[in-house]
Amino acid sequence: MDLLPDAEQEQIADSVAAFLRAQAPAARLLERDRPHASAERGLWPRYAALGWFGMGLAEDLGGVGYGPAEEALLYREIGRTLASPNILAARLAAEVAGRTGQPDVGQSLLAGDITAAVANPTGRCRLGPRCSGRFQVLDADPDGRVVAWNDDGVAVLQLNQFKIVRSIPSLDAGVSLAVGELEDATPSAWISAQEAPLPAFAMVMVAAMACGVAEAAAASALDYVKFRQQFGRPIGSFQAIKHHCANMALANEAAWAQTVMATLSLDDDTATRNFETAAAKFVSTEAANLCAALNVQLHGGLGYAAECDAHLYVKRARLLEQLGGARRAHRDKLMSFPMTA
Amino acid sequence: MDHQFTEDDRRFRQDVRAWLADNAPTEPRPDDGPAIRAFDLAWQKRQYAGGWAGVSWPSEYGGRGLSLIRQMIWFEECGRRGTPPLGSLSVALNHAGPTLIMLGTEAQKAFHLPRILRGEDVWCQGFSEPGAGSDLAGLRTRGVIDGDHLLVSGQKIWTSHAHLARFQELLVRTDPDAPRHAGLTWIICDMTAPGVTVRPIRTMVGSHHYCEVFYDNVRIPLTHVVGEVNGGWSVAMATLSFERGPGLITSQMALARQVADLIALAGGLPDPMGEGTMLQDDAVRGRLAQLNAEVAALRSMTRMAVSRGLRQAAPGAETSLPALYYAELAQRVQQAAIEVLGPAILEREGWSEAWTHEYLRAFMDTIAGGASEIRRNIIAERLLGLPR
Ligand SMILES: Cc1cc2nc3c(=O)[nH]c(=O)nc-3n(C[C@H](O)[C@H](O)[C@H](O)COP(=O)(O)OP(=O)(O)OC[C@H]3O[C@@H](n4cnc5c(N)ncnc54)[C@H](O)[C@@H]3O)c2cc1C
Repeated sequence: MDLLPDAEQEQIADSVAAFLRAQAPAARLLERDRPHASAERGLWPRYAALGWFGMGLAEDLGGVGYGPAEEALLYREIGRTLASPNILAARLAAEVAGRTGQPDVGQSLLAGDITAAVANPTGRCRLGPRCSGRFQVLDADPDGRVVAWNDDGVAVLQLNQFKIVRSIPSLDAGVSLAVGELEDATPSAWISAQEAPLPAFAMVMVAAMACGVAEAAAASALDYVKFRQQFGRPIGSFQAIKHHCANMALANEAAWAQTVMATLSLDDDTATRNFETAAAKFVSTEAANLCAALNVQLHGGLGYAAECDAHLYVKRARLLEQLGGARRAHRDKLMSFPMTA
Repeated sequence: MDHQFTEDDRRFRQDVRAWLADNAPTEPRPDDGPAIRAFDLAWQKRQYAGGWAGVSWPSEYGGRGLSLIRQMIWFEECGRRGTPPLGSLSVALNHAGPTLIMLGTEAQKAFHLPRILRGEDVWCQGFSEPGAGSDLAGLRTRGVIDGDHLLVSGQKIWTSHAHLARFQELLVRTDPDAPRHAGLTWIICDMTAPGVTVRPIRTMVGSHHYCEVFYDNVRIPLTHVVGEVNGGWSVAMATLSFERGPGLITSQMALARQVADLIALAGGLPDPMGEGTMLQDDAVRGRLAQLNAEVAALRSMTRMAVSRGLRQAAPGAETSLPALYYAELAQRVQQAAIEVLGPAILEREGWSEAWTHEYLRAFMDTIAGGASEIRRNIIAERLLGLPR
């Protein structure tokens, strides 16, 4: 039992962080009034070259062969600089393709030749060998794959299978939004949760991204309150501000500790896995919402301005909260706390 | 990163579980008075006789000399079994013992550690005073060196279990002219020494938990000083960091069980406002789900703290995080219990009394051992580096 990363894992996290800081800092999104899917797509070959889409996939599926622990560290960094949640879509699609006898598609996804986009259900939906429902597609790419998941499993589709695809202004300017409906569509690949616990995996990686958002927002707030002077002293010396900062640190410790536990419990029995991942999603999105909001608050008038990056975290936190269903959707899994065997 | 336990650790857990199944007390723990001491010491004696006392304490002083992970497993299994709380032994086991192990003299360790493990002594903590609580360094109880003794005069307050204790971690001012933090001394006080007067104080729960303690020229041998004379501040800080350490696990497990009990209770109670049970009420269900997620997060934070503990010699400021999270979560659990119980919370007898008792008790969690406001200051200043 050791919830801290080992030296190799730390190295992975550091190198991912260094790349994202240089190539995709959160502030890149400030230059956009409206989201440009193509700008994020520009980074796609780089991610592929770094092996991110296949980091946790087994080598026989064309992956790098690390596991969920390394991937949780990856997605935490992705969250930190608000890099695209579609990285997760590509990773899921590659595994589904590889496991359903479509190794070529899997390879193309891993190589970044085919892109993938998250399709998030907006209400009741049916996923399986036939799929129906209304979905929000993130940074839709007409030539790419579209990945939808719920508790039943993960489906890979094409954008042209959706009826009336309509692009809609997006809360999160880092991600464009298109809504579309599926009516009894047959996915190009489908894996049920019984065959592979991919929905739980997806939920933990969303939680890890939320941890990254939360930590980035808290770090931004902390930097600012040490620097900004009022009444002749740094505002971080005022106790009301200190307590806000302590609350962020508290929420983030809870969020990351639980996300690590959930990541490591993906191999445990179904009830444990469902409980731990739902708890991780819950506390991590709570932390992200809290830190993002406090970061705006602690920046004062500047925090409210579009030119300040504080609002970016608020919006990404809300996006991640909705991915795979917000708290109400998963509360039944939280009714029984599994004690260590 | 790994959440699994080794084969050996798992076997250890099975052994603990089997032993507790046969040996954990089944009779209820008394709520007040000297019966508490008799009960707590008897349970400690039984643990010692079974070879389970002081899992991570050095074996030369009667402990088992095992890892922090095994200590954690022990506490987790106690929590699962619902063994009695450490109660009047929490000072001895959670912080006096660890403080002596780290900073005590050979003689102090050889005398006290085996006595603690064998269940011979209750300890108490004499830090807070009427004029010095959060601002501990403002304490005024005086210690004057007189030959090879310290002569102590003054007053402590809120001293838990002082009326049951044989020894005390006593913090006194030995150099009134030095800067506030530099003139303190941490000394072991024998509570039966002439000049010590203890007056129990009733709490809002209704029983006697803590006391006022008066010192009138109490003579304490200087050999009982832990650390250096005038070096007591750093010893006290070590003591407080242990207080926020893995001993928290039993409380955390108790909280997990309370939420489970509450969910079971809500599943059986008819909703007076509707058709179904309380658990079918949307707001109640959402609240209980949230509490379980938070209980899980607290458990994960504790394991994160143990993971850190395996790499550092002494606990750092991060230990304030699970301690603060626990304290506030415990109160949220009690508030949810009130929503589920409704008017039954007003009746202090029968099945609901345990909930009423817990509701009242939990008020102490955000005060004792450092108020939440102070813990937030510590996190902000020591962990996050904000200016004082
Ligand atoms: C059940 C119980 C058991 C206890 N057992 C022991 C024991 O065994 N031994 C022992 O030594 N002590 C014990 N205590 C005492 C405990 O440590 C103190 O009560 C605590 O440290 C607070 O000190 P105080 O009571 O003087 O309150 P104060 O310090 O007067 O605080 C009152 C309020 O002011 C706030 N406050 C104070 N300073 C600040 C600040 N700088 N910034 C923001 N807010 C501030 C506090 O947070 C609190 O809300 C116990 C207390 C309780 C309730």
